[in-house]
Formats: sequence, structure tokens, C-alpha cells
Amino acid sequence: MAKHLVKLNVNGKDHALTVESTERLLDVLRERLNLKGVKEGCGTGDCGVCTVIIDGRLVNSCLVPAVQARNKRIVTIEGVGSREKLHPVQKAMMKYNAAQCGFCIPAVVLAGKNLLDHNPAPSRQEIKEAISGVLCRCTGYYKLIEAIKEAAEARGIKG
Amino acid sequence: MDLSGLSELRYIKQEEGKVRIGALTTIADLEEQKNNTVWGGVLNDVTAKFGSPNIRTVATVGGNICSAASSEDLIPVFLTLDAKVRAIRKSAAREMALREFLVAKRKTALHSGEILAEVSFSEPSARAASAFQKLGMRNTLIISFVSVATFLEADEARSKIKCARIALNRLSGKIPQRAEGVERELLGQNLDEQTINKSSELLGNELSLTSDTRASADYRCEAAKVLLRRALVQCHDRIIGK
Repeated sequence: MAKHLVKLNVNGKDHALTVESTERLLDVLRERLNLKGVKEGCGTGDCGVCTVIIDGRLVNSCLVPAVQARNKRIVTIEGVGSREKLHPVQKAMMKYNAAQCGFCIPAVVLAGKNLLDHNPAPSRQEIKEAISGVLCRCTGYYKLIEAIKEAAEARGIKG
Repeated sequence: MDLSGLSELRYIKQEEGKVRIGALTTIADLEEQKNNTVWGGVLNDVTAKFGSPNIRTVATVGGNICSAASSEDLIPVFLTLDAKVRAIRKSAAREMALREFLVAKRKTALHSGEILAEVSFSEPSARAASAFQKLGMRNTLIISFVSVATFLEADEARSKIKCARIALNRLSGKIPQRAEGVERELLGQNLDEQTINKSSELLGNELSLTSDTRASADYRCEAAKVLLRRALVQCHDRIIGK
């Protein structure tokens, strides 16, 4: 199997890694960079829990060979907010008790954050569409949508 | 082999009455082209229902076409736009109708060493309209029970049908196909509700669908008729400017 030297910028930090042709970005993030907030659900692009943001777009990291992410900017949940300063979406999700089992939550937060990065005042329908690639089997989505809506409004007030 | 870095195969061009889309154009690229043309409208219909935003980032036009299966939403749309595909290899290129490119389920006319480079079609006239309808268990991340694409062109008075193309994700085989019987019946007919309802009934004669884990043949057949009617109504409304 051919090996390739790739540079990835993950959560603002550059990494140079040697990867195999078929190595998934999901595995590189989880196993090589120890970013366990990236979850594996189905591994076939159906559930979206392995969502990351690549160059401002949502992607299922199970569907991306790591070589294809070469020289790109990747954001995982570890790169969103901090314990001291949560991202508005994270803050609103806590307020609404929007997480139950929590397995899909990193992906939902990333989908919500990415939406607000591109569209600061989304409609309820736009929020539904933005998170539609992530399956949640606990919440029924209602609180997730409410939380992202509130995060948008909170950000709007702060200007 | 990874083709994803070939940015020269990632484009949407409109020139000299032709629309050309590079095989590596992503579904997200199509989604963003937001133009008000006949073809732009139907591509908006299909991209909104395609996979999920996450999938649309990486899925490509070429990938969808080369998968050659009834689950590929772009194929019926391109069939109704009477699209051609361009296959290239090291020293040569050839063009053929998309209908001929799709040989069987998961089988295309590509030779070894050849790749799909482009899909193209003539820019539809201002008196034409195109639509896409899809039905599945949910809106996102779903393989449809049935999907229908339609293309209608009206005469100058916008009262009679001059050209009709209809494609379903399945008709009698396992790949998307044109419903030529219904197309012939529509030619020269009045562009009105009566014609649309009749064509929807006629579709039943051409369908030979099978049951599987997603839906029964009977349900698929009924759904196909309803979706055809909806898509034709959309075309009608778009043509008369409703």
C-alpha cells in the first residue's frame, strides 16, 4: 500500500503525517491525533456522527480518505469553544438540555456552528436542513433546533 | 486512483447554447449555482433532496452518473435534459448520449483507462420547464422509492406540448430510464390539467416495478403516477409563469 506525506491543519494546528492511500480521515483524527470527539457510527456516510468541518463545509470524515484532506483546514469539536468560553451553540444546548446520550452532539454542534458562520440569522427550516445530515435517535431534534435558534439570536444581540 | 485534485474537471459553464458540467463538480457546487434558468431550476430541485449537506460536499456529478443505479438522483434529470457525456483517456475523447452510457445496473460504457470528464446538454428554450420529484421514507439521506424527472417544451402560444421527456429512477429495469410511451402520447397535446392526468394514468402501462425492502411494487407504481403528475404540474406552472 502506498504511503503519502500529508499536511493537515486541524483546529488551527499544523500536522505532518504519513498516511496510507485508503486511510480514512476519521481514523487519522481519532487514532493518530487522539481527537475522540469525532465519533464513528455507521462508517458508510449514513449517520453523520463523524462530521467535521473542512474548509468551511460539513463533511462525513468516514467518507474522506485522509489524502484528500491534504493542505486543508479541518475543525473538529475539540476546536470549538473551550471550558472557560463555550461557543454560543454549546451554551444554548446546555440551557435547553439538548443532549441526551450525547453521541451525535459533537456533529450537531459543528453543524450548528458552521451554519451560523455562513448564515447568522437562519430560519427554523434552514436549521433543520443544516443538521439534517446528522442522525439523532434520542432528542427528536426539537431541542437541538431550539438551541441553535437561540444561539443565533444570542449572537445577534451581541452584534 | 484519486481524481479529486483534478480541478480542471470541476466547472459549470454556459456557452453557445450549451451547458457543460465537469465530472468533478460537487453537488454543493450545483446547489450554489442558483441561476433562474430552466436547468438551474431543476438542479435546485434535485440538489435540495440529494443525500445531506455533508454528502453534497464530497459527492460529485461524475460519481453519481458512473454509479449507474436507480438510487442516483441526477441521472433521471440529465436523461430528461437529453444529456451527452464525454469520456476521455490518455490520447482520445469520445462523446455519447447518457442513455447509451448507462449499460446496466452499476455498469457504464467506460472502457478500462477511461474516465468520465463531462456531462453536457443544450440550453432549454424559455418556453420549456423541467422538474424533479422524489419520494422516500424521510427527506434527507434516503434512497427513494421512486423518483421522476420531467421536461416539457411548449409551442409559441404556450398552449400545446412540443417536446416531452420523462425519466424515472426505474421503469422496467434496475437503472433510470425514459418513459417513451408517455412521452409520445404527450406530443402535440394541450398543455393542461386533462393531459397531465391522462399521462399519469398512461404511465401505469409502462411500469414493471419490483418489490424490495424499501417498498412494494404496487406502492411504487401508485407513487410514480402521483409524482409524475406533480412534476408535470410544476412544469406547466413554470412554463405559463405561475
